Amino acid sequence: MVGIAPLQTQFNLTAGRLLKFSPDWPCSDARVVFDCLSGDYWVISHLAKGVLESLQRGGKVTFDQLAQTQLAEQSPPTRWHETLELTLRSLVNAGLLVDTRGPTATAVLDDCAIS
Amino acid sequence: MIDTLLHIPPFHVRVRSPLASVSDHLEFFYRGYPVSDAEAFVDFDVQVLPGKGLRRWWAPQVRFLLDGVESFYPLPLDQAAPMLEWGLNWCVASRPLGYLVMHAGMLARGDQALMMPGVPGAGKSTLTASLCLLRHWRLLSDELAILEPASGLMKPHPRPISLKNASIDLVRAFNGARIGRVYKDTRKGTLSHAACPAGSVDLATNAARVRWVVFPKFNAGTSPACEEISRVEAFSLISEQSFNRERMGEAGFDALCALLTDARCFQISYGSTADGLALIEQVTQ
Repeated sequence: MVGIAPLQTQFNLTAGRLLKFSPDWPCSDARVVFDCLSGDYWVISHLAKGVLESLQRGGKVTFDQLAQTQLAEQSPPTRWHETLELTLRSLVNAGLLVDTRGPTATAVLDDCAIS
Repeated sequence: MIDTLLHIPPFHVRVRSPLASVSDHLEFFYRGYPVSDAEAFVDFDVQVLPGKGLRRWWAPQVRFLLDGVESFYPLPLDQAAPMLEWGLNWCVASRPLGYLVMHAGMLARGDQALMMPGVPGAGKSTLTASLCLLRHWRLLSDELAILEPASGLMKPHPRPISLKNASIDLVRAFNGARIGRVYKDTRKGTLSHAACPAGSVDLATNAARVRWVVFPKFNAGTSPACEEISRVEAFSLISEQSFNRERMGEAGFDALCALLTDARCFQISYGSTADGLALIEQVTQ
């Protein structure tokens, strides 16, 4: 079983940011996320927006829930967990998320495969 | 000594200078502009003054001051008028006025605006001049797109169109073009200005909503091409051309998103003025 652990147990929004998103404009999977405090912006995927919004709301979203809500339209969604892992890493690299699992963590899949 | 208070919408500008070249420039390009009331709040109090010190005897210079503060190195004295125009651009771009200010040519047909952001050299000033002189679009600005966040409308700021190098003679040939003095060896090459059409000055308080965002790219001799791009890509490209997006914070972000939601966005490349005009006609139909 993959994805029972809530995201919040492993990733936090970077402190000191107040994020705002562009509208869901048609004809593009990309979105803009804007930090109202620094004035910085990033172009992110629809999935990344879902991750950030979920964390910003503070809900107990799980990887499985994210996969269902964000990737349901993709077919086949067989590689959603790899996609999610890459997305999370890109958000960490962008300074939007903090990986709280520590330096020994290797892959999201390993970590979220706990129940 | 000239000391005048000009209303160059949406701003009131006080200009003081003892230099004849500055008063000649104002007379040629701003003669039809309304003079502000003496009671009007002065947004920019600028002075264009001769240089100081011994240098003035063998290489005279000109200085630009805003509110009595000199923020730039002086330029050669014969570039006083271009320095006034560059200085005014800097005032609008750098002062926190509550507007989101971007580097773009702006024109309008009725209350529908065409925004043409572009890096220097993209050809936007020439295309802007062509559209307003040959196709009778209303000139809002050839350099500064001024977006009012509360209304989502672009504020006209009609001023002389800055022309460089080969575009000077090109625009001079247009019917109705009024070209000012030519300045050689400026930091931007040979420079001149085309007067803003009187009709655009008359309607300078009529704001417009952006319907089309076009990123032009002039490359002599290339075939015309047009591609519609996503609003996300347009956001990134416009952000590169924004002077104060970071300082405008959330209000600026919301305003730019709203602008893009109402607009279609294109990139065009063209190798002649005729091709550029045809592409603009195509995307704004």
